[in-house]
Amino acid sequence: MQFSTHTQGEFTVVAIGEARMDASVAPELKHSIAQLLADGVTRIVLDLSQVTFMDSSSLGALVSLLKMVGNRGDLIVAGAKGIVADLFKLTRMDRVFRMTESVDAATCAVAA
Amino acid sequence: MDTTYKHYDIRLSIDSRLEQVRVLSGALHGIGKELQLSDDKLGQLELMMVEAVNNVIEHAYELQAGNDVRVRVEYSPQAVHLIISDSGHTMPDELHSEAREMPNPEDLPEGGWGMGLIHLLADSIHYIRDAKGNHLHVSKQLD
Repeated sequence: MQFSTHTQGEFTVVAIGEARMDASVAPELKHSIAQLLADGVTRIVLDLSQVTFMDSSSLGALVSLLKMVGNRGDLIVAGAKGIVADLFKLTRMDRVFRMTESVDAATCAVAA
Repeated sequence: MDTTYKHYDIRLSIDSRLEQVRVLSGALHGIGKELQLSDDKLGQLELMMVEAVNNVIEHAYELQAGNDVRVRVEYSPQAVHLIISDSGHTMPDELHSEAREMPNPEDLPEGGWGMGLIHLLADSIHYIRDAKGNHLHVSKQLD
């Protein structure tokens, strides 16, 4: 699973670099971001703007990570569109995750 | 030259490994582009297919490689029918019960959405278990 990280304000932005998040990469995604949390990162914006497909296994991995973050920080989902955004809506998990249209919207909204 | 397709019947097959599911997605995208399906419809079809195939690999084949997962794509101008077949174990009853409820978001579920998603996205759905294995039929209207 390809992803890059950079710092934007108080946030670590994790940008998924692949078009597809599915059951074959969900465990690796979970492990990689869990490692960031273990390293002390607590405020994460997950940039899904390059992702064109996501299945429920990957959504489950994100919920697991949200639980790991708990009340200690943030896990904001940014840039979900098309069927990826639909997945959050159909499962009603858009009520659980903080979701923004873009990374900038995530960091600005929190900074404001 | 305009090509008007009256009917298509395409059969795809992969080995029962999660990393091969993306190959099915690629094939479905190729079919969808050729048939000029909208991005919305294609995304919905892909999500239904992937969730169904994941269920086959995880439940019918219990994550064991070396088994055949078959997807038949039947197209007419009115609808796309997907038939996902396997020769594995009988699917758990709860997976194909008539009433599919999504997990409660407030419980922070980490799974259990697959069949619920298929029920939400499909216009019709039925599951058959016969001597050859499991067959899940899902249809999506195009108009």
